[in-house]
Amino acid sequence: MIRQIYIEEAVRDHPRTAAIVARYPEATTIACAHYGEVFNPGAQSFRLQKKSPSLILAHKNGSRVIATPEGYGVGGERNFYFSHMYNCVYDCRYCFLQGMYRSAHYVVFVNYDDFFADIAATTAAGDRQPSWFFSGYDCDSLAMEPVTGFIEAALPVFTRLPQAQLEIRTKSTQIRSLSAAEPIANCVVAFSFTPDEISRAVEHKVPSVDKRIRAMEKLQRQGWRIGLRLDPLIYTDGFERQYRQLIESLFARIDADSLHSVSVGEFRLPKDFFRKMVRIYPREKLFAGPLEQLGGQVSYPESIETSLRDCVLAALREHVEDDRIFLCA
Amino acid sequence: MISLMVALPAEARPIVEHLRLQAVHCDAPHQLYAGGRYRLLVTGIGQVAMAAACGWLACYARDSAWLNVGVAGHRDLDLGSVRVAHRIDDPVLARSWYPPQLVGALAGETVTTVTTVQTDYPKLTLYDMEASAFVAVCSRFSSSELVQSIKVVSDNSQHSVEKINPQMVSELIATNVAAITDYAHALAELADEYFGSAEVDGLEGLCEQIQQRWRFSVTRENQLRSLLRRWFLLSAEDSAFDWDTYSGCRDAAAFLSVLQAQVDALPVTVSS
Repeated sequence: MIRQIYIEEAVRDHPRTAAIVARYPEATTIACAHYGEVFNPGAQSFRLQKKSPSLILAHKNGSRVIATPEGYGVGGERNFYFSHMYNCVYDCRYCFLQGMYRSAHYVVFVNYDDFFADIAATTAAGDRQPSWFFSGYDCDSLAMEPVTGFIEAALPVFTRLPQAQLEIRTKSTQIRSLSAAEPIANCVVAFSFTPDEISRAVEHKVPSVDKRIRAMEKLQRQGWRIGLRLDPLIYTDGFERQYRQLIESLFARIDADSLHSVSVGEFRLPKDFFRKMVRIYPREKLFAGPLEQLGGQVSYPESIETSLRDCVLAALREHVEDDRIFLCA
Repeated sequence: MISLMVALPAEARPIVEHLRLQAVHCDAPHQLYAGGRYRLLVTGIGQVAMAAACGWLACYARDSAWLNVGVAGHRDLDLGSVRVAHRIDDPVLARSWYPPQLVGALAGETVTTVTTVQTDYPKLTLYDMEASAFVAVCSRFSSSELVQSIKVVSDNSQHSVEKINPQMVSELIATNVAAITDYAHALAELADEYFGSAEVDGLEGLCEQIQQRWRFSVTRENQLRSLLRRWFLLSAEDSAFDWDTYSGCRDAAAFLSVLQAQVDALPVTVSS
């Protein structure tokens, strides 16, 4: 439940601000000059705020569409991400957001039309080459959809931009706005998974694996293109059995032939983020694993990464050809 | 632990009585009271007095939440209304603070901290003389969720500030003392959770014992903590630290090397 809504001066009179505020009649609204005054100060506890995050409604200035880091993508040459929201309803212990942000409040940028204009301009700049736009980089794309309505607003835009490809990355089962719409060919709904036992241990507040598979199945039956994301791969005793079981459960229920893509990503965090995450959750078993620092990154040692990756790829290859499997750096 | 900061003795009195705090006789430059998990300091009026008092108490109050309690003016709110500051403005510094609200017991309001008594309430906010100094200083010693300010309305457009006297201030605070102390209690619980989860149970004690036997540089001490944290988290719950394994270690480097091997050999599981 949202108990406080901070409203940036610039969006005080925005119709979307009024619509979002109306969803929380019990919440107190607090004016602020700029969202950074609330979101950015030091001396905030991400962990405490996660107990009851507030909502911040703001205007996104500057770069709204950003090139993805090298190696991030599902086969396209031109890859971009955008974040209409910072922070996530879920509480995954491996998530880099808790290392990156000082606050756990949710920031929603309500000037969606500016995002859409930037997406259109970026698409046009690619001439006839497809441009991929990844949503769900700094938030979950669908978890707050009933409140933000962002995806509902984005779908007609992408319908008009056939050269633009949208990936909606999510762990959510909030698929109403998608199932109520006609599937569009240039949109992939990509569901992230870790095996059930791992998910229950480290993906707090996330719908169960079974519920997510059900949501995937439903969208696939309706004709939506579906993606599968196994990112990050988590090491634990018995990971081979757990990942194999997950992959078997997935492909027992989804149609592998019409699956758009699978991507596999390693557990990798900038060292400063990792240190902060350990400070926030010193009792977290995930961080007690065999992680090592190499350069500016913390990850599993090469030998563990290789066994994780090989085991997952072997299980995937029983269902999907290599040209639809992507390794994310 | 919670540190209550109030400007006036009249504001302190009902809280001291309600919480049964005892005067602490020490060389403090301010009147200090204490009892159980509470400390209360009478700071004096104004930002400088509040800042100085917070700085002084912070030297003795590690791992504390901070709560400023006092009276304030508001154009429209009824006398005796109680509010927690969800935004604190300092017009002189042109700065605002937004204390995150995790204790939901009280309604919120913006507080504007001014340097002179406000009689015409130009904005629809509470007016006080200490909150901005309180939040600016205490946020340096604690996380901002644990730094809060509660105000009780003592004057408004119908009841001018000139009519305030110490007895009235005490009565206004006394009327709200249960709400104020309930809030303080909830804030103290939050502080316990925050400071209590700062490290794995037992790690500090074991780290100290090890450092009594081997000398660790700062870098090696960090490695020791990191390895011990992993050892605590990955070992079976009833595991005891086996000192015999390390009896042959001549120095900290040798100790760390054996500990590293021990930790690396533990089964890795992410679930409880």
